[in-house]
Amino acid sequence: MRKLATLCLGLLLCQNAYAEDDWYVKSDIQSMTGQYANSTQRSSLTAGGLFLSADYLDHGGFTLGYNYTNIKFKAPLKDIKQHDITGNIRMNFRTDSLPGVLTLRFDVHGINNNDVTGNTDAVKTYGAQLSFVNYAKSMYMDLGYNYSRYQFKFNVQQFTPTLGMGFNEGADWLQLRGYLIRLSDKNRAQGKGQTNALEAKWTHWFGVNNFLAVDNLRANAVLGERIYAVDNDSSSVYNLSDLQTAGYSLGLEWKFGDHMSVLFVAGLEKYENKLIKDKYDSRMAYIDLGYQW
Amino acid sequence: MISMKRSFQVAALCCVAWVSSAHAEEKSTPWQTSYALEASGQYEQAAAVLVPLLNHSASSEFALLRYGWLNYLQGHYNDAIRAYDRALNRNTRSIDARLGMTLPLMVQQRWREASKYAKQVIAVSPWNYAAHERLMACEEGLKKWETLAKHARDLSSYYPSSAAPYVYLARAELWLGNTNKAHDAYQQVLERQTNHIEALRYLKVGGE
Repeated sequence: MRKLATLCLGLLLCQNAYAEDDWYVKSDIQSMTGQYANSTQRSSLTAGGLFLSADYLDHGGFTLGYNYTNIKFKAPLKDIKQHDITGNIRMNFRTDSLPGVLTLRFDVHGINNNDVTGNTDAVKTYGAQLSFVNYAKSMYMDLGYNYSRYQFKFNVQQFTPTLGMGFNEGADWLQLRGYLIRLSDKNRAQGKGQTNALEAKWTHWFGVNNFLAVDNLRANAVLGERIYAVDNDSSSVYNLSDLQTAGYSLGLEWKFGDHMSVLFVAGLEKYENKLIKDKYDSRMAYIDLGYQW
Repeated sequence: MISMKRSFQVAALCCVAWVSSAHAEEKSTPWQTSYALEASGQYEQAAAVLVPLLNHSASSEFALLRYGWLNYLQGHYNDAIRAYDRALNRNTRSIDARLGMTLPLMVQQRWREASKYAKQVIAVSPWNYAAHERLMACEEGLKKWETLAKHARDLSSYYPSSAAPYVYLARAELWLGNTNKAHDAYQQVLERQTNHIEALRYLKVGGE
């Protein structure tokens, strides 16, 4: 409670000149473009966002973000233009009985779009996550819970148990996250009352003498099915109502000096809309420019 | 509940340490007893004999500094941080408390907080070696390689006989992809510390 009060006070004093060295601010500009292949309804996707993250020393911090998405549909369907405002607050705790850091994090999203059905409009999601990473950074675990509220009395609960491990002297990291999603109305979720998926993320840091000056390589795969998922790592909500049946992506990150980073990701996601028997792919490219102030 | 249990443990240890010290050396001061216990590796007992002094106005600042150090040695890092914080509240000019504070913070990988205290020392004592060495460790923890390279180069000019700045310089240059500079820095390390394992391994001079 004291830590929360300190953090809140810190947030209020963010502009204070005396706190200048105590706040570590990072900004990210993101852009994404995608094409839908074999879809009877969808054509393409473009998105852009801005995130501002601030950490008070090693105690915790907050992130505020805005994301705009434009999904182009094939005629006569109307395009969807969506605004997503998101934020999270996180607090770090260290006890001498645990050899690592506990982090408690709360997330919130507010989404509005012009979906004529209203099914994906006015979405609110709330999330909480308790994580632990050891000081050697060789083991990570978290348990996340998200509650998403959609219009017309539809809600989604998501549990995300996660295990991460470092190996190869810290040069590699593997993270496995389960997406256990429970849906309140099958009629709003492709006939599904629940979906289960496993997401595997592998990151390799090249270290010294790195190839093409790449800092790290990221490979990501989603196996199983998920719908209305919330990905708190990327602060994104999959609120468009088709069933994801697979997902693969590959990313490269470059770091320039102590302040700048560029992340480029290319990926493929497979979706299914059982109601209209539509199976399609989403092929996307994503870029993130990060600057640590 | 845990803190109450810990208070009882400290109180019990305090009594044991006091009784044993009274039997062993009837005229020894708590300081002497504490030093003797520390020398024999009994850090918990060495800290416990200082507990009665922590709130004693005349000696509390130094008792807190030693209590912080002895808790750090035991791996009670949060207790150590609290003790150094209390010492700092008693004497806001204390360099010792700030340098002491950096140790448990660095073990907990609180690099930014440790950097803050090291920088506070540097602000009043610009080329304090210990503060710079700890700040370099923090910069390494934060992977600020450009900052670390510049810092290590500066420090090596103020302390040209010390190997540590060259070790940090070599690591930073290596991460920045400057292998020739890293090679030169490791050679400087070996001139100052001929058996330095990391430098030997990089330069493949000593073999394994």
